[in-house]
Amino acid sequence: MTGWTVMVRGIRYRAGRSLVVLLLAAAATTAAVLAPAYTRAAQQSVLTDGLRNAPPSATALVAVAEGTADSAPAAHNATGDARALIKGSLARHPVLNGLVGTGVAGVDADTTIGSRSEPLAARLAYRDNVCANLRLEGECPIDSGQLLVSKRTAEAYGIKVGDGLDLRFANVPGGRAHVFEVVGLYTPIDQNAAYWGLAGYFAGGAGSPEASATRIDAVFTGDEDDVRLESAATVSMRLEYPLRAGEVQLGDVDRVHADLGAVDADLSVQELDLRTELPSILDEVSVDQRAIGRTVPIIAVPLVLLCWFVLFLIVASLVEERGPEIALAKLRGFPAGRAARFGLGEVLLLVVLAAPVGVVAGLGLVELAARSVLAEGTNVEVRWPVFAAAAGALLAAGLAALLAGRRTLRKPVLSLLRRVPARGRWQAGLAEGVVVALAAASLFAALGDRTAPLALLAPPLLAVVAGIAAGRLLGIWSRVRLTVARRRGRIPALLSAAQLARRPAAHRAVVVVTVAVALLAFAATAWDVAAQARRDHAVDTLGADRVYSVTAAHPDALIDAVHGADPSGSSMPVVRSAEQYNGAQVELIGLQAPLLANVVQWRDQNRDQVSGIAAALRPDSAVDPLELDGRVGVQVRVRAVGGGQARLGAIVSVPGEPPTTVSLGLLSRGTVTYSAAVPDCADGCRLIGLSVSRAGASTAPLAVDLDVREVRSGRGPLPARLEDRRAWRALPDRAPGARVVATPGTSLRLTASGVTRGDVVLAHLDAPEALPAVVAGRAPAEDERATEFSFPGFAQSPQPFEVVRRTTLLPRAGNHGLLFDLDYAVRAAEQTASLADSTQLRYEVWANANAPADLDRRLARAGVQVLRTQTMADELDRLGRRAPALGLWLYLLAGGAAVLLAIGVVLLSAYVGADGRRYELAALRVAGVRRRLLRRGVLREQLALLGMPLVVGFAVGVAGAILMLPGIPLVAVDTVQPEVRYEPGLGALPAAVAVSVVGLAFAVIVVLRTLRRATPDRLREDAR
Amino acid sequence: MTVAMPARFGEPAAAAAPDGLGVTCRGVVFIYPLEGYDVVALAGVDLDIVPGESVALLGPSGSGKSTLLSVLAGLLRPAAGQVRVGEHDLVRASDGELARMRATDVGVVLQGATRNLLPYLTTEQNVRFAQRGTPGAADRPSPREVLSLVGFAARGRLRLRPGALAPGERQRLALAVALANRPGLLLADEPTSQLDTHARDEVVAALDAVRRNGTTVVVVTHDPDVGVRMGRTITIRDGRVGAEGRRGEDYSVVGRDGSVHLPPEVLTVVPPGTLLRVQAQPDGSIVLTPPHLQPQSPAFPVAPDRALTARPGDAVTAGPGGPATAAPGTLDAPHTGDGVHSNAIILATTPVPNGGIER
Repeated sequence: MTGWTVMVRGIRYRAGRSLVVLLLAAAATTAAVLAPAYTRAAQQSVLTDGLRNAPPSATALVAVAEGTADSAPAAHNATGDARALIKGSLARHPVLNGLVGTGVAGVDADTTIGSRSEPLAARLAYRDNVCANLRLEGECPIDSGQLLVSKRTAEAYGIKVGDGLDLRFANVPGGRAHVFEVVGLYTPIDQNAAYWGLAGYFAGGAGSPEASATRIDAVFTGDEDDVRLESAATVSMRLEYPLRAGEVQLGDVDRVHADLGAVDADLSVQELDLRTELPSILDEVSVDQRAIGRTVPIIAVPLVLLCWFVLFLIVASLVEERGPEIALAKLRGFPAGRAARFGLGEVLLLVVLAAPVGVVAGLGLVELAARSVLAEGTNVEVRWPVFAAAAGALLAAGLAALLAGRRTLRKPVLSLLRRVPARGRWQAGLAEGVVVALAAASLFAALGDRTAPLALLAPPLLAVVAGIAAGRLLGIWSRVRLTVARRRGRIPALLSAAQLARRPAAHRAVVVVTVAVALLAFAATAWDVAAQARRDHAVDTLGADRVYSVTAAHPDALIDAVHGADPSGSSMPVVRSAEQYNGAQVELIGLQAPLLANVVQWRDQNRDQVSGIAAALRPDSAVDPLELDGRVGVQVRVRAVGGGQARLGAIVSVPGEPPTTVSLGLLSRGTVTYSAAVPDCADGCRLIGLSVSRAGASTAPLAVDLDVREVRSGRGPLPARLEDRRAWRALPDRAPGARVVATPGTSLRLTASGVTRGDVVLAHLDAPEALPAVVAGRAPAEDERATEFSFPGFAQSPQPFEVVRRTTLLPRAGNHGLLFDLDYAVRAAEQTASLADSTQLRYEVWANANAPADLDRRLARAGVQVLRTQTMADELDRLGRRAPALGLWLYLLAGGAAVLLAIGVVLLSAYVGADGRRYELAALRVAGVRRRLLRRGVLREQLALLGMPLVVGFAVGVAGAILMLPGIPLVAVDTVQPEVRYEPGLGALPAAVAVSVVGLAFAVIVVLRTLRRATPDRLREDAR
Repeated sequence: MTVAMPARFGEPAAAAAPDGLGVTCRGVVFIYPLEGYDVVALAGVDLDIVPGESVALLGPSGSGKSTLLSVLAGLLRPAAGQVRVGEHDLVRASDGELARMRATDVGVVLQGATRNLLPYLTTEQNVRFAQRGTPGAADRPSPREVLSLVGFAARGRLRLRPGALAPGERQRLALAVALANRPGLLLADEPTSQLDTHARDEVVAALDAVRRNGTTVVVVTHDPDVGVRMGRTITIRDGRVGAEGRRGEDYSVVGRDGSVHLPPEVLTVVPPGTLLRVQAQPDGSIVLTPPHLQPQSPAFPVAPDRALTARPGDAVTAGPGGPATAAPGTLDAPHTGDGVHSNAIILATTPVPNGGIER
């Protein structure tokens, strides 16, 4: 018989307890392994998410050459040359080479198509494999001189397959026309696909650099040389290598940085620019990665220490229970070393066996987390830190076992046989003192800087201190109760108090349960608060359930497209711009106020409040625009005209165009209806004013006195509200030197007199002079609390604003911005300028959950290209995978594991002392104490043992959360820390309470069942 | 469960018989330090046990007999005195030497058979486990030899665990475990407690077999019958050797300091504190006389010429008016003084020189 046989038989004999030791040791290893494995997986997840969420065009490697043949020869060379160069360079950098896909070459140049008098601006483009990404009617161009034209362009301009088109390169002086044959009409299969990059091929309808030409969608050629027909043409050549975002591994990042620099150097020699936002995206990702690297170990350490402590307790209990066996070994003359091996062999063997189990469990747990929580494609990585952590855990567990067993092993034989309950020793007091000192230090650190590593250890340390205090309090309380119960003769109270007062294991169990519950309570509170913060952040960031970032020719085009795509009113057009004021950015958001309450999600504002805001932004008394349908007519009674002939004009705003004045004719005395056709107004336009201008070159003083009696469109009279003072206003500044007066009434009287070179303008005020606006933060004016101020509007010219509300936040605009009605803002801006050419405006479509699911496709069909779609669910999902959420998720996991450990400790404590307790209870039964009283005594004991730490643990956990959460990143590490707020609901905290109560109740039931077998038979010597 | 006694029960083992170890105690004192006060468990024990002897330590609970056993096993170190087991000086030996002693020369049986056994090992494995204290010892017996010495012959019993054995078998297994390394001294604490008569007889027979095999046997027992069957009984009273028994005869022992424990029934006559006149008689007896009784008076039963001098270690019988039973009580001799008593006490007519034992 060998020592192994004895060990194995001992383990089998104590199968239940051995299993618990195995599981605890495995749990300690798992906790240790979690730190490096989860850190790695979480960092990989953040990397994968960061790269996937970035636009493909941003992560792609794009080699660009742009210019004429003289300025950029590479742009005029065959793409094959550049491709070979890049291929060679990438081949020298295998890591980067393995992460990029096949390069797509594109060559394009701006051209005009058609006659010189009515040219269309188009981009002539060649792109690899273009026909595979288009739905064609006709042929795919394969020879030079062949073109594909977009179907909608063809329909708009009557182009057919087989037509010949004259094409001239833009900005080429003396350039000649090249004739191309239209061989097919195309519709992009998915114009938002990554294949198309950011070239903007499908911008038909947008303004053109040549103001006289209308922009149409790109025309594609099958021969790249077609784009280089003119050496003086500015040709843009690009080779786009998409990044395989899902394949970038953490270990590749440094290499990728280095390779990008090297490839850039290689390409610059050949006058190719390497353009990519990949380095900056990787840098952004690294912020989260560093946060995870900092947070996870701090979260894992308390769990590891708790496992270690629990293992220490369990081993100490088990070795103490084996005291008589160790005494036998010593009695038989075993030398000290051999007796120690006999005493600890079982535990150490279990600890060693637990190590691989713990490693596998840890890796499995991380893999499970990777599949359920982390970014798709993230897997656990088996690397050396995992095994180093496991080895460390093994050593620590072995050390814990040695320390735990040392006291028992050093006892003499008779002490081991006597099994006198161990007394508290000064070492335990010293350890408790150290913990209290550390907790005080961490608390002090937390009050100063909550982000300091020591501060982050404050919650678990405070939990330990609370556990120690609870344990001691329970002891004192039990002794008091014992005295009282003894005096009053209450058996159950006496039995429970006696047990609690004399059992050192009770004190240790209280510490463990308190710490575990406190960890779980802290984690659950933090999780709930963070989840609320993420929801708040998502609402603040998006402002609606879905947000589409789109391209549009101008605001009116967007408005028309949205209303056409979703007539239900579940979505609304939004136009945004940003201005700098006083060193800070001010966000301007224009949205359609009538749809505001239906679509927007606005934190701290309920639907009624939002409706109130909408009403304030666009009051019912507002003046409606005067919509024209191609003709405009004005009935005027001219009382007098002096100073020469005067011409009556209608100032018209055509969507996407600057205001134009349509001449209605020379004024003559009497009542006359003046009318004219309005160019480009077939799809509707707006009368924004009337003008009176001199018809000749006379410089005599102008004298006009007339009554406007009616305004008509082609369909009939318009509600011009000539009697409304708010509807019409003379603009004296347009006619400096003249006195201009507008008098509303049954007819609108206009008098103007004086010497002026300008026109007399009578503006139709279909937008308030001062735009009603909601202001978040400081008003962008000298007086931060000003109720009226002027600030650049959409037209980049000063726009008066009137503050109707002040809030702390605007949806999607943060805490410094202006929100106003889009229609008013557009009308106001289009009084003076066209918004079509604005590069400042950003177009979006906000939609609620009831909006059509295919709204993006509908918008595309309506001519609005969707660049990006953001949804509330995606945003919450994305935020849920940022560093703080991943850290808190682990914390929650650790808290759950801690409570499981605590339940294990309670159960094992009951099992380890079960024989003795059963013997005692059996003796009490023989002595005449009724079973019911014994049961009540045990129940009271267990309730006191677990109830107190449960309450204290939750209180300390929640208090720790209140203390620490303001310093813990809740949403993202690179954003402003949100307000910490907790909204009661069915979150993690109630679940934690339920789990803890149920788990500990289960432990109580098991303990009661264990002690139920305390029958008088137990008193026999051979009863086990 | 009872098992029939094997035919060869008590036959000498095939392995070489051990050399019995003698035990010598001189003035052994042991004190249990408790909270706030000390308890003197052994108050100057003098004891000589010759190699191969079989001795029962008798005495009431708390008298110190188990403490004495622990001292002999090297589990407790005396506060004063000398203790020798064979060549081992237990007072000067280090912990390691004491452990080696228990591994080779002294086998200990704890009170309660199960406390001596590992419940998860079989009968044979328990013996092997006890032999692991001296790995590689060439002359140790095989477990089966040891088990056969205490009556375990049936092969099937060797593979049973302690829980499956009858109480008597368990106790004999505990003896076997203590004998695993063929010790010269076997110390057994209450080996027959909680056993029925049959099982007790089996155990006593086993102990006898052990003694006949050459091992010195010291047994702590409450059972006078067991004591009688052990041959020599030593009664411990108040931490001292108070009396000895030989073949059913009890003798008080004169201590090294001249003290003699009086039997309890004597103490009812002369309670502690009584003054006695001590007179040696020509016939070798000692007369202890309260002051109110004159040696020449008709009530005085012994002629003065029968006086005897009792020396320390002598075994003597004592009783009112002649030899009688023993019980606790101490008489210092010579002693004179005032006192009131109706009887004189005569100490032994035939002293046994130097406490020797007739074998």
